[in-house]
Amino acid sequence: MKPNTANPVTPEDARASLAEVSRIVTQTRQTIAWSCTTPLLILWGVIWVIGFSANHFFPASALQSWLGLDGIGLGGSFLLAGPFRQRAITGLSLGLGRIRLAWLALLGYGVLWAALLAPWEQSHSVTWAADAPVIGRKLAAFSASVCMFGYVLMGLWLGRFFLWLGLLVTATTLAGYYFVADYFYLWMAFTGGGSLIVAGVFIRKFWR
Amino acid sequence: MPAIDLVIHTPARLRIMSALSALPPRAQIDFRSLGRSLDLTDGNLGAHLQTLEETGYIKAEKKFVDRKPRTYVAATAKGRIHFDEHVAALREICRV
Repeated sequence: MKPNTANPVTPEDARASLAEVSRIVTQTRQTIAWSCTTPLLILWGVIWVIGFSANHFFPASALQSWLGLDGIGLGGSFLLAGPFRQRAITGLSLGLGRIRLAWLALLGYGVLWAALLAPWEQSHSVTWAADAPVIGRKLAAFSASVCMFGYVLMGLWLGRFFLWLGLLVTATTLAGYYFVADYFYLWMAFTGGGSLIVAGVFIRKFWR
Repeated sequence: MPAIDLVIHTPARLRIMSALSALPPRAQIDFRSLGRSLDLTDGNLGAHLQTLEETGYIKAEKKFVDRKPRTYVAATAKGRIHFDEHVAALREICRV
C-alpha cells in the first residue's frame, strides 16, 4: 500500500490532530516514566531517608551504612526496574539498556570524582577531626547533586517533571549545605529523600 | 512544504503512530497494552496495525513472555520519518 499524500485537511482539523498527537505523546512518555522510575524513586527516597538519618545519628558508622544501603539500592533497582519487570507491568519492551548503562556510568564517575577530589591525604593531619564533618557534608552534597544531575538529564527526554525534580532537590541540597550545616543530614533525609518518595507516589497515583 | 499522509491521518492510525513514535527508537509495546492505552478494540487496532505494517510504517514481532505468545509492535525508521513529516504538514496548515 502506497502512502496517499493529498492535502484535504482544514486548519481546524489540523489543530485538532496536533492536539491529539500532543496528548498521546505526553501520555506515552508518562507511561514510560511510570514504568521506569516510580519504584526507583520510592526505593532511593527510602534509602536516602535511612542513610542520611544514620549519618546524623550514627556518624561513626556512616560509611558502612551507605555501602550496605547502596548495595541494597543497586540490587533493588535491578529487580524493580529490570526489563522483565517493566514488560510484565506495562507491556513495554523499551530497549533502555543504554539508559541503564548511562546511570551506571554516571554513578561510577561520581564515585571516581569523589575519590579523586576528597582530600583523603589529610586524614592523618592534626586538623582532620575538625575538617572531617565539613568534608563529609561536601561529599554528601556532591553525591546527591550527581544523582540529581541524572534526573535533570532524564528530564530533558522524559518530561519536565524530572527536570524540575532534579533542580528542586539540587536547590534544597545547596540550601541545606549552606544554611543548616548542623542538621544537614537530617535536612537531606527529609527534603531529598522525602522529595523522591513524594515524586514516586505522585507519579504512581496520577500518571498511570 | 511537507504533505499530509492520509495513511497516518486517519484518527486511530494517527494515535497509534503518535504512541509508537513517542517510544525510544528500539522500544516496542505489546498489542494489548497499546489497545488499552489508546482505547481501541482488538479488532479495530489489529486492522489499523495491518494497514500500517503493509505500508512499512510499523513492524510487528511475536514473542513469548512467561510462556504466553504476545505481539509487540514498534514504529520503523520509515514510519517515524513519515509521521514527523505528517506532523510538520499539520503545523504548516495551522500557520496558513
